[in-house]
This record gives sequence, structure tokens and C-alpha cells, in this order.
Amino acid sequence: MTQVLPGQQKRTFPSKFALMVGIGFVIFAIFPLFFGEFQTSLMAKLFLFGTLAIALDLVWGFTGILSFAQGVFFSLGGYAMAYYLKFNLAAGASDYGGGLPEFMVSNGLEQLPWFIAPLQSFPIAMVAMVLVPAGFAYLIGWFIFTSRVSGVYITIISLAIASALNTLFVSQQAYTNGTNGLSDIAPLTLFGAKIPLIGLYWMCLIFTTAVLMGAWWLTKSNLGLILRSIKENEARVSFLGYNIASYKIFIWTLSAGIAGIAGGLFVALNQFISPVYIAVPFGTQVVIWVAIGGRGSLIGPLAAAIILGQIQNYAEQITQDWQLIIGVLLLIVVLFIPNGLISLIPKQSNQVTSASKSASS
Amino acid sequence: MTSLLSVQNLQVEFYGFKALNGVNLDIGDRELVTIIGPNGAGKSTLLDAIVSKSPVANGQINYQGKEITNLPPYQIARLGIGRKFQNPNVYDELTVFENLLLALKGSNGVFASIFSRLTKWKRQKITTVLEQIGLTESAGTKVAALSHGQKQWVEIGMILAQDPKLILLDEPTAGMTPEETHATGELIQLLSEVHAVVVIEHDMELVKQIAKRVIVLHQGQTLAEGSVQDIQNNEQVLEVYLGREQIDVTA
Amino acid sequence: MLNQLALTYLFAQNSGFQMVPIINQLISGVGIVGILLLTGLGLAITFGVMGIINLAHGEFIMLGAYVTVFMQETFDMDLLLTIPFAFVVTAVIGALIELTIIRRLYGRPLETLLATWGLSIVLRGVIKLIFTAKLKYVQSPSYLSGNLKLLTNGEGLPLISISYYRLFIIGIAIALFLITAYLLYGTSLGRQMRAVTQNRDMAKCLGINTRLVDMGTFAYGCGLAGIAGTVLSSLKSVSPPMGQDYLVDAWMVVVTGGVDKLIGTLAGAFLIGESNAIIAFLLNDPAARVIVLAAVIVLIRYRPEGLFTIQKRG
Repeated sequence: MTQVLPGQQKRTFPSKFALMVGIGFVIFAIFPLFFGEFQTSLMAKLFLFGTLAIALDLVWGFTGILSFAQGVFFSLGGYAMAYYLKFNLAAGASDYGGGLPEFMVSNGLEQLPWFIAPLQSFPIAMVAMVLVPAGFAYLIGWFIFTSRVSGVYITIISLAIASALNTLFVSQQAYTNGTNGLSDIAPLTLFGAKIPLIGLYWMCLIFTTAVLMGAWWLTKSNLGLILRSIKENEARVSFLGYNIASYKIFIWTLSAGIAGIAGGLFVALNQFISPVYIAVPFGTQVVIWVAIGGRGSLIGPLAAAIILGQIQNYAEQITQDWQLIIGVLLLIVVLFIPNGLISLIPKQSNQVTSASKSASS
Repeated sequence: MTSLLSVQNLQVEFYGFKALNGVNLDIGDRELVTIIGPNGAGKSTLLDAIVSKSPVANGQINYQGKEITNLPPYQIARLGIGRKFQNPNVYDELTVFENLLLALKGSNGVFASIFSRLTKWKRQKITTVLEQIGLTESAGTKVAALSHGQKQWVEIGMILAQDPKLILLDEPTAGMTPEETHATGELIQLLSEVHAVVVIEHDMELVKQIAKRVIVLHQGQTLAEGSVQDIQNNEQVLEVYLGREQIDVTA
Repeated sequence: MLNQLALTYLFAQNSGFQMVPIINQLISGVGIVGILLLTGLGLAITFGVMGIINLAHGEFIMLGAYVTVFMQETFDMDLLLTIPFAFVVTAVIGALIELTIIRRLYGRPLETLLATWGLSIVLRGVIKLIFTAKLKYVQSPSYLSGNLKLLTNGEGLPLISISYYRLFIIGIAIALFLITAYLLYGTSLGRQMRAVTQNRDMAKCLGINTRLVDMGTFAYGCGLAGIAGTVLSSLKSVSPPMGQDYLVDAWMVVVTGGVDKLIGTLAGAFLIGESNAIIAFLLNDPAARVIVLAAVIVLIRYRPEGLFTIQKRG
């Protein structure tokens, strides 16, 4: 009688998944002890890119909304952190009265604009890092998901958003320092002490692990089921009494919030943010990680971001044409391995029978 | 007595073509109504209009005394109206179990869905539905792997899990074998003891098996209404159907 | 005489209301319209007629530009003469790509979108391998240099003028637009193209070779992008990533006008080009771009089928 309902989801404690993540966590936690500073920093950055991929996967792989605007939310979080750190530095150096950063001075500003000034405070900056991207995403989501717009038109809108915001940030030099972005900023401190690289690395690792576990838990819940149904046939779900728009807005906003935190940590780590991360090409990178790693799998996109990033690091020392290789890989995956490279790894769970059945039908 | 669903002078237009042209319909609590009519009579459109799949141009739909005309589909579903579509509209990529879980009556909010658990009540409900539709064995199978008739059953199962007050069935037996059709007929009769049911049907065998009140639609209007006997003896109905449909009028 | 007086009054420098800059801006807007129409036309075919989400559209423009670079470097050919070569080369490449990639993905728009993005990366990479990442410059024909003076001041200096090359762009854009409209609506080939997209199975039953029509239509759309590449190559430098600049704009044009009718593309180009010019005059260029993009988003939200399409039932 134990297997009366073979189709039901097991929401008992996910021992296997937890074990895997736990082992991974330990391995990566001691990783910096064996590798140099460069690798530690690179790895931490790739973790953040990985969470960006997981966040997009929630929206695209599970819900079916393909967006090129993931970099926008990442950057909004990043800029929030960067302003805070920049003001920190400017306040320390008293060359410019009132703690005004040098690019603002050279662009003719005499005092901090009201909409940036609050970021001088650490708590406000931290909240803004999440709420600005999430709030912006909520507004957009509310605007577009309550209409009959769907599919490729959402994707085109995401292209337009990325393009428009990129133009905005590049052009508003006095406020954003244009294409140069915000660099030369203070390191992130905790209780007055500078956080060492390894500390930042661990923060990134913990954040990534939390996002992975949270996303896993979310997709295994009823919400995950509803999101997958929306992806397959959204009209039908509404006849079952679900307000599709609210689900889409929720996951879209959540995804943007995660991206924002990733952006903030990225700035703390790299001491730099620029409109490059807003523009379409970076948003495309995230799409590529998810596509190659495997839509609808959480580990796949995370692994793809990390592994491709590592390979890229070495490949670019040998060849100028790494992007060409990525393009070919993307083409191969889309044409022949639609579920991503992770689908090539054989599963030994009870899913195999149903999967092979559906494949043969 | 107020009826459960009351449709008054309903008009639906597509590009100026009147798919429904002033239909009136009253359905009482736990009543079983069968709708027949030639192709293009507006049968499916009537159901579409009730669940807001097609916009209503004119007229009114009242449910439990409240107007529901052109409300968003999800709100109509939450009020207790369940719809089965003509072609099985189920989730191929989900398992049978997941399809039923998705349809299960309950709170449909975002946050509720995150924290909802598979309670004993839910498990029992799904077990019962699986037995009713005879797919207990296939609970863990992806719907894509099922036959057409089985998919029809899955969608009927979704309606059962949704447990609405009013069930709208659009040709529930299409693609079924005669045995399956008969079994479906029995299930529909069983359902009508607890729910109000509206069935669109082509299969006259099934109509004779289940029908109490029959409504004939023709060119977007109600042509006739009455018992199976009445309908079979109605001159106008004979005229409309004669030589055009597979209906067995002499039986 | 009266006219002359009125004009003098209108264009007086100190009249407060500055007509000259406005008219100049409108004329420069016409130039933008020409570029937009040119870049959007190919997409109107591949997306509008075939429904293919082609994110490699910009790269076909880039390919056309490189054909011109190659012909000029090798044969010292006049830019105008390279147009047929650009068309043929990009069309052939387009046909090959339809045959090997696009064909497998019909009916799966998001997959097509991804694949064409992969393709655009590959095309950029391959061109970089062949021509290196160095910026290339093409020579525009000398007979197209200079400006057409529409209005001069007392000393004969131009107040309002438009460059011959801009006129050339507009001319070729409109010519291509007319040819395409004739192909689509005036020939049996065009009827076949539209029949195939509207109902593939029915078209097959009618004896249309749908595979050939698909390939031909896609190739033609790519060929148009190639011509755009040639014509635009002399405006800026030619480099592998140049197509990216045109991609988003071309999409906005097609989406704004709506894909049902070719005239939508013309209208979309006109609307976006002129509003860009006017807003740029009132504010500045980046603001114009941001506002126009925001307007397009709002437009898609309320009319995803575009401005010039009959409203369909939801």
C-alpha cells in the first residue's frame, strides 16, 4: 500500500538533494584554501552569475517567459551597492566638499541628487539593492502580465527595456558616470572592518546555496506545479480558478530581487559596475547559460554559468574566438539537446519510465 | 425558485457574425441539461461565453443571483463553474496525479500555493477521483502517454477534483469507445445527483441514456426544448437535422 | 513677393519661434525613417510574413556590409554596383540557414529566437575570423556626396539642406518597399508565400512546394537585409558587431506597424523615425531613444498586433 499514488510528489525531507548540495557546499567552502586569490575571486563571481541563471530559469524554464532583461535587475542592485560604496569613499576623501564623488563634480553637480542621496546609509542601500530591482520588475510585470501580451512579445519588450535602460544609464553622466560606470569605490566593511576576499567568497557561496535550495523548494511546491502549467497552457489554468497574472508577477519580481542581490554582491566583490551589465549582450549571456545548462533544471544553469565561465577564463588566453564557440554550442543545444546538457546525464530515479514513455509516444 | 445559472438574451459576435443571437437558458440546482444542435449552432460558444472565454456582446449571465457576465475566467472558476473542453485540454507534460492536484478545489492564491501541503484530505480526494475515472494505475504517468479516451477521462477527473457547483461538459465522449461512452454516461448521471451539469453531445445514444431536459440550438438561437421524446417529435428539429446530421430521429 | 516676405519673416533668426532648426530636424528625421525602413523591411518578411523570430537579422545587415567591403577592397568596385552582390550573397547564406536550422524549428517561436541568437554569435565570430575585428571603411560614391540645398540665406549659405546620400537611402528604401509590396501582393509567388504562412497544410494540398517557398521567402528577407548593409556601410564603420545596433530598432519598427500588412512597416518606420527626431530636438538624442522605446513597450502592451492590424478577438 505504500505506492498507491505513484504520481504524487514527495515533499518529505529531500535527503538526496540536500546531501548533494551539502557536499558541494563543503567542497566549495574549502576551495579558496587551495587556490589563489584570482581563482577565489573568479569563482565567487561565477557563483553570482549562477544565481542569476537560476533566477532566470524560474521565470523562463519553469514559467515560460523568456527575458533578456535579467542584467537590468542585476545592475540595479549593483548600482545601489556601488553608490553606497562610492559615497563611502568620497566621504573619506574630503577633496570634494559634501562627499560628492568626483564624476558628479566634474559634470557640474553641486549636491547629491535626492534620489541617490539616501544610498549613503548602509541599511537603505541594502534595502534598495533588493527593492529597487524588485519594485521595477513588479511595475513592469504588473503592466505587461495583466494584458493579453505573451510569448515572443514579452521577449521583445524585455529587449526594449534593456536597450532603453542602457541608453539612460549611459547618457545620464552626471548621475551614473556614463559608460565608465562606478569604479574606484570603497571596499565593503562590516563593523568597521574591511571584509577580506575569502569572506566575500563565502557570502557569495552562502547566497548561491540559499538561492538554489529556495528555488528548489519553491518549484517542488504547488506553486511550481502551477508555474509549469502556465508554461504549457496558460489559458487552461485560468479556467481552474488561478489568476495567471499574479503568479507571473510574483515569480518575475522574485527573480528580479534575486538578481538585484547578486548584483550588489558582485559590486562588493569586483568594485565595479557599468552599463555593460544592463545592455542586451549581458542579458543574453544569462539566457545562454540557462539554455545550455538546461531549462527547468536548477543545477544545470548554475553549473553552466560556473563551468562556461571557468572555460572562458582559460580559453580567452588561447583564442580570440571564445564567443564563436559559445554560439556554436548554443546552436547545437537548441537544435539537438533542447533540455540542455544536464539532460545528457542519465537519471536513475523513478522518473525514467515516464520519461521514456513520453519520448516514445 | 431562483435558478443556479440564468442566461438572458445572450449575444456573442465574431467579426460581426452572430454566433449566439439571443439565447435564454435557465439551469436549476442539480439539474442535468443536454444541449444538442447541428455544427455551428453555437453550442460551444454558449459554454465559452459562460466561462468568459468569448466576450459577451449583449445580454446577461447570472450565477446564484449575481451577474458574472465577462468576469475574468479565473473568477468565474472560483465561483464554482467548471468547464471541460471539446478536445481534451489537459497538461501533457504533467502526470495524471499532477493534473488532478492542479485542479483540486482550494485556495488559489500565490502565497497559499507556496505553503500548501499535500494534506490527507487532498490525497483522499485525488484517490477517489482516480478511482472514479479508472486511472489509479496511471497516476504517475505523464498524460502525453495516454490514449485520447483516457485524456478525456483525465479532464473529467480534473472537473471532479475542482468540485464545482456547475459542470459544463463539451462533448465529453468524443474519441471514446462505445463501452467508455456508456461508462461516461453513467458517471454523468452520478454527477448530476450532486452538481448541476450541462452536457453538449452529438452521440444520440448517450443523449438517450442521460438526458432529462434537452435543448436544441440552431443558428445561435434556442430552437426547441423538452424531453428526448418531445425533441424527437418536434417538426422544426426534424427539419433542421434531416439529412444533415447523424442523428437517429426514428429511434 | 508675399511668399518671400512670409518666408523671411518665418525664418528670421530673432523671431523667437525657430522654424529652421525644426525643419532641419524633421528632414534629419526623414533620413532616420529611410534607415529604419531599410533595416525593418527584411524583418517584415522573415517575421511579418513567415513568423520567424530572427535575432540574426542585424548580422545579415553586417554580412551585406562586408560583401561591399570585400568587393571594394578586391575590385575597387563602386558602392552601388556592390548592391546586387550583397543581395545574392546574403540571400544564399539565408537560404542555407533556412535549410539547416530554421526549418527544424517551425512552430516553436522561442526556440527559433534562441537558435537565431546562436546564429548571430556564430556569424559575428566567423566574420571576425575572416576579416578580423578591425574597423573597415567603405567609400561612398563621389556623385552622392554633398548636400541638396533647399533654402539658403542671403549670402547663399544653406539654411535647410539634406545630403544626397540620405536622399539615396530614402530612395532605395522606398524602391525596395515597392518591389516587395509588388512581390507579395501582385504576383502569384507572393500569394504562395502568404498562403504557406497562413495555412501550411492547405497550401501543400494546393500543390505549393512549401519547402521551396519557405526557403525562398527567408532568403529574400535576408537579401533585403544585405542590401541595407551595403547602403548603411558608408554611414559608419563596418565591424562584426555593427548589426547589433540595428537589431532592436528594426524590431521596434516591425512591431509598431504590425505584421499583417507591409504598409505597417512603412508606417512604423515613419512614426519611430520622426518622433525620434522631434523628441531629440526638444530634449536630446538619448532621451528620444528612451522615450520612443518606452512608447513602443506601451504600444505592445495595448496593441500587440501593432497599430496597423485589424483587431482580432482575444
